Amino acid sequence: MRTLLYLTLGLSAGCAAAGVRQATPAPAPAAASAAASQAAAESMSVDRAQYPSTYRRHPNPPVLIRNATIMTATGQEIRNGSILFKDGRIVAVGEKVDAPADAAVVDGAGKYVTPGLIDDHSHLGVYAAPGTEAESDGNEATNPVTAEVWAEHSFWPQDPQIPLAIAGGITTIQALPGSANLIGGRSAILKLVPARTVQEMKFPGARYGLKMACGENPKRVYGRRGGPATRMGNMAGYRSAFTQAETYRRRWDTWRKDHKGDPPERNLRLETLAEVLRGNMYVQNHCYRADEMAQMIDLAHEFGFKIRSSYKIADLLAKEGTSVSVWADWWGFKEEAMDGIQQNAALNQHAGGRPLIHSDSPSGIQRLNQEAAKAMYAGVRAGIPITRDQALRWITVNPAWTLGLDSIVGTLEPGKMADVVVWSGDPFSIYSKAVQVYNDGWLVYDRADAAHQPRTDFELGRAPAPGSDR
Amino acid sequence: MIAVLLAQTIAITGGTVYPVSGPKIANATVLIHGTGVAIPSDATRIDAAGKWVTPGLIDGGGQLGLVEIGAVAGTREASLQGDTIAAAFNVTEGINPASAVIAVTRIEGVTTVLATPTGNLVSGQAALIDLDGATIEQMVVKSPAGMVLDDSESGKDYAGGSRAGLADRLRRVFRDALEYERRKVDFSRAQIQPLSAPARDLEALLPVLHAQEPLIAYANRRSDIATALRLAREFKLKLVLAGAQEGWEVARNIAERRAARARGREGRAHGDRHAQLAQPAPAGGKRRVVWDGVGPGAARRHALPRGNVRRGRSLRLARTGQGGERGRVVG
Repeated sequence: MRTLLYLTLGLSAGCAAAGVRQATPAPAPAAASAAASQAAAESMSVDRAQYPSTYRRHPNPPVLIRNATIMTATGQEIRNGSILFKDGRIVAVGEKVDAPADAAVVDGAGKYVTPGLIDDHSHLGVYAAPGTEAESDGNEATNPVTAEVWAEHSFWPQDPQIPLAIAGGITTIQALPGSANLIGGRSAILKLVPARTVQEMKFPGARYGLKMACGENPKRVYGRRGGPATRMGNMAGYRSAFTQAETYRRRWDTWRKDHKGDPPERNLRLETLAEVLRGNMYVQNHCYRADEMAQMIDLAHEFGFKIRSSYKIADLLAKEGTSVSVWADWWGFKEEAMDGIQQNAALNQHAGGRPLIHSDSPSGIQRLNQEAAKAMYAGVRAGIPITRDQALRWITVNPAWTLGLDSIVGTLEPGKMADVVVWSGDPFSIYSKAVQVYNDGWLVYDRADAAHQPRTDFELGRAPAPGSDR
Repeated sequence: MIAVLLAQTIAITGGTVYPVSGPKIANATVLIHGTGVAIPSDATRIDAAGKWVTPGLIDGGGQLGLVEIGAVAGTREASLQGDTIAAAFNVTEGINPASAVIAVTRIEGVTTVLATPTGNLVSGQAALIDLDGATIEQMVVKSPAGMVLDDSESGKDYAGGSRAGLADRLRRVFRDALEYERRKVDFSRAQIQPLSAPARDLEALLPVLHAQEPLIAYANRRSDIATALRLAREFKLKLVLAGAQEGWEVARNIAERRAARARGREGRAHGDRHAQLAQPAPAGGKRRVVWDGVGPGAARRHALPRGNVRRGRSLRLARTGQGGERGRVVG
């Protein structure tokens, strides 16, 4: 049951990433309202810091990886190339790069280098291993609209699935609430680094996402619990929630301007939805059927936010500037997932859209490169000329764009954050493994060095020692 | 469809053939439904130059054909509700030859699957089916092909909530089945203590208890695998471990049991094939693969005695001239 509850996107479908795209990160709520805070007689909770990121870059020496095939996700594949990064930033990428004297030099002969992989749809930490009821923290399935809950308040940094995802080359994830609810709550965009608290993982400057879900899941969960029981009930649920949020937003915006009378009562549910209406949050929309995605585009038009995410309506999505977040080949486990095809990502690419491959799975996230490879070859076999660079973008810069982080991560370019993966061979080969993973310049994983293979506390006393008979 | 194919002689020529029963053969011919070693002039030729030719893949356990859409109850046929010891439940008549999943799986190279029941403690009887055919009769290769046991976390829910209770319940059921067999007359006269399962389910367990049919035990935890091995030893069963996620941790025990079987101490060598599929390295072992024919190219290159090369013989059999059983890949 749980599996079905949090499985999300079909091949025929995709996440509609909604929200007005802005070039600069949204101001933190505290900063936005600093003036109001001074003007008010006493400060209010809304004006104080809201669960800020405490992420700090891990200090490291500069690193030069040379003699490798560098896949930049900007159209280049440099044979015998080098990449230098220092203080968490990429300094140079090219055929010849000089190393500073203090640089750690990595011989990349026979190896490939790509940007760190980004999974924009994960439930790591909120549905943590070993998957008992005790760790089932991903669906606040007590009301169809729970915009007030935040995934980061469920996220368990000791989830033993995290080191496995790191070993698969993942450097950034969006951890999402499940898809039981029409509106499931806020996502957490996280640097995938070993950490004690979720705050230490929160991607600095990243805006929040809002999880929404179409179709069967909310119907199944709430059909006999007061509704919605139908797809029209689903639509009515989104509309009434956003209608209330419109009023809430207006009241607060007005009060912030004139400070007349008492401030409006704070409502956490509507506060989150108002942030979507203001364009400060993106929507990650679980949706399978093409016709339902078209309904969601209309919903966004009604409330003035813009959708950015199926092969059937690839033209519509491309026109809307919507990205589409899909699986390579999961299909058929429920009625709305029966129409899935392996060429979904390729067809969206062909239509001028912005596809990306997500895992939505603690196993799939360990091999996101293979998922992209499967989708690439499915397209090529169907006669759609997908390039290696395009397929690499499906798991790097395209998800970065969807999360509003493409100016910071997702490609290997000077100035970008040094999220870098060294692969044992072609990352689109099933035989290749990540051998080194750098997150913000920090070597968070090294296949050859147990000192750089993070383990969680959960594993203490459980994992067999290498070579043991047990 | 089968009838049409049966009438055709097909020659797959020029490919690198992996017979599995022997080493790979370059530039070989596989003749399907032919007689002799020559390619008949009316044969349909398939040029496999530059390609690999292997046996069709076999999925050793799953609900293909029994469940079309997991979330739609109307398409689920794998589980009999309300019958903890569902030994008499055979899934065969629940197979849907029109399931959309069948063709999609076939195009990926899978030709045969074991359709297994799920749920309950004893889930029921599995059927081996070909992914080809318009009717159940055309699809079924072997039914029943094994008795499925849920020796796992979900199985114990049907035995009072304890793994020890699961083992105890099974022992009682197995003993009652043997008792029922010995005392059918007493049973019909109601001169027997109440049995722990209905007579039809006990009857259905007898081929398993006489090692004529395998017990397919779904077990993942180390201790569950050990329980399955222990029960198989006690009742001299042919055991197939399925799932076996922690099989690697007890690979030696599994292999020892298999070796014991191979030496003939506990009946015929047969079991643990599923464990091999899931955990290929430790358990080892060969699958018997019989092809529908070895072509003249292979006969020439391997200097096979001409009389041995004929339809229904594997390369190995063609070499030795022994056996010659015709058929499909059988596990």
